[in-house]
Amino acid sequence: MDVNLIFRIAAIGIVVAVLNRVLNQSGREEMAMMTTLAGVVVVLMMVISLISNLFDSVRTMFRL
Amino acid sequence: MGGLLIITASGLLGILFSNRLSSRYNELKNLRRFMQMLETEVTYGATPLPAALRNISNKAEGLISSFFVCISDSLTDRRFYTLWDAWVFAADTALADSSLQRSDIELVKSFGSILGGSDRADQKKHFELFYLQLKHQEDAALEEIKRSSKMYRSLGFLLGIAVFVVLV
Repeated sequence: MDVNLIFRIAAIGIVVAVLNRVLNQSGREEMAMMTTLAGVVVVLMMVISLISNLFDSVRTMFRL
Repeated sequence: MGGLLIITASGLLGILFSNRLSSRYNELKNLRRFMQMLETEVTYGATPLPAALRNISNKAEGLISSFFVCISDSLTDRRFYTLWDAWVFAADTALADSSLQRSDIELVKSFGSILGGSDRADQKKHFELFYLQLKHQEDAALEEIKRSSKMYRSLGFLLGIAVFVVLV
């Protein structure tokens, strides 16, 4: 398990939050929405293999 | 090291964008000022246009100066049949690498069709109208500066940091 991944996700979260504030303040709500979505997608890409690992382990654990 | 480069590069890009906004405003303001000089030359001095444009280009600096020089030169060299052709040519060449937007340049071009086409009183009216339109563009530019100059600046740095975080 890679701890660096957690820090990276945290950093992306902070950056996206600040971007969201800045864009909202200058009246570009739809762009702020898009950046938030992009952040979610990037983080999802990072963790998707881990999630699939988790599902696999659950499946083997319960012999499904 | 590479991350620092990425962050500074995108930060500078953001600063560049926000500077372009403010330089558009300055250029519009300069343009209006020298158009007022041109009006004085035309309506009170009754100077012929090539000479008037030459006079103003001596006083102006930067892009506006090269714009007027371009018109004046092409008029004295008789490169075009009408002032309008010379005006449009100059607007396309001299103002192309300015921070002015397409709508600003179109506005300037449309004024070229009127200049030198009627008597003094009529010219004066058209000048007034042109100032009004320029003022309108200026206000829009100022509004744009207020709204998004700061945003571009912080956006550049933040996107740099985001790319850095994703890559490292």
